Amino acid sequence: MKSDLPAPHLETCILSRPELLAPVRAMLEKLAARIGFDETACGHLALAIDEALTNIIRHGYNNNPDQNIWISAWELSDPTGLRIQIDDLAPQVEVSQLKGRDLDDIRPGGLGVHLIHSLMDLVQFSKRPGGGMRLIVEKYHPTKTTLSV
Amino acid sequence: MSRATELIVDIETLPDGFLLRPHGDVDMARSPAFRAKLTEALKIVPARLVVDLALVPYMDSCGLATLIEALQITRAQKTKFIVCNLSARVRSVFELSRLTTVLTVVDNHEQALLA
Repeated sequence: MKSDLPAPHLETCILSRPELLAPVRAMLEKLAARIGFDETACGHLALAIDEALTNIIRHGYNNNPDQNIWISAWELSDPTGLRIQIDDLAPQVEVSQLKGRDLDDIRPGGLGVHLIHSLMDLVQFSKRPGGGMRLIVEKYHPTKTTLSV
Repeated sequence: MSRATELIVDIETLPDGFLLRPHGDVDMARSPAFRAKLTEALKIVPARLVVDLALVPYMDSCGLATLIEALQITRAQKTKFIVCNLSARVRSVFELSRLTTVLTVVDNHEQALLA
């Protein structure tokens, strides 16, 4: 998946399988830690990405385990932080439909988008020009560091 | 079932019900196994069901949804449903989702038996 940004620090493609969520979480947590995020922020970032991937697998790909999901990550310098982009080829939906449920309405499901918004500093859903959906999330931290991976 | 999707859950018999202690992350891959264990325990309609999360370092919204489903069943059948021993990370997910306002969450095993 190409983008207008410089080459990402990390780029990978996974199949739409729930058992791949744990290794993706571990990889992104390690990356976030290396660029200076504390343990809590690393955990929040991993959870937000987990929720995004879960939504793609369940709702975008309707639990089909053989579809592709592309994950790219960039270290940001101004503000310092991390940008993660997730692309899929699932049927496109209106961005206005992608919102979490009212938290006072306690029922199973519907929490993922709410958690993504709660945990990240920037959340941007869009339709990809070539088909599928794109999610860009950013998390910032106050201490400027350089990537040393 | 592959190791990535299986979930070990210890089941301890209490005087008035059961204590379930899952081991490991509870995410989309493992929440079906978690749901199956909870459903199995609730079929007997115990007076008390305790879920001890001491050995769960990570839980996502799929795990939370499984607990909400169990909560709905326990309310319908008058089972006391208590969750205990949340790690800081899991507790933060509960709080972000406001689950602490509807679930009985206590600090430890001993409190769960008295709640």
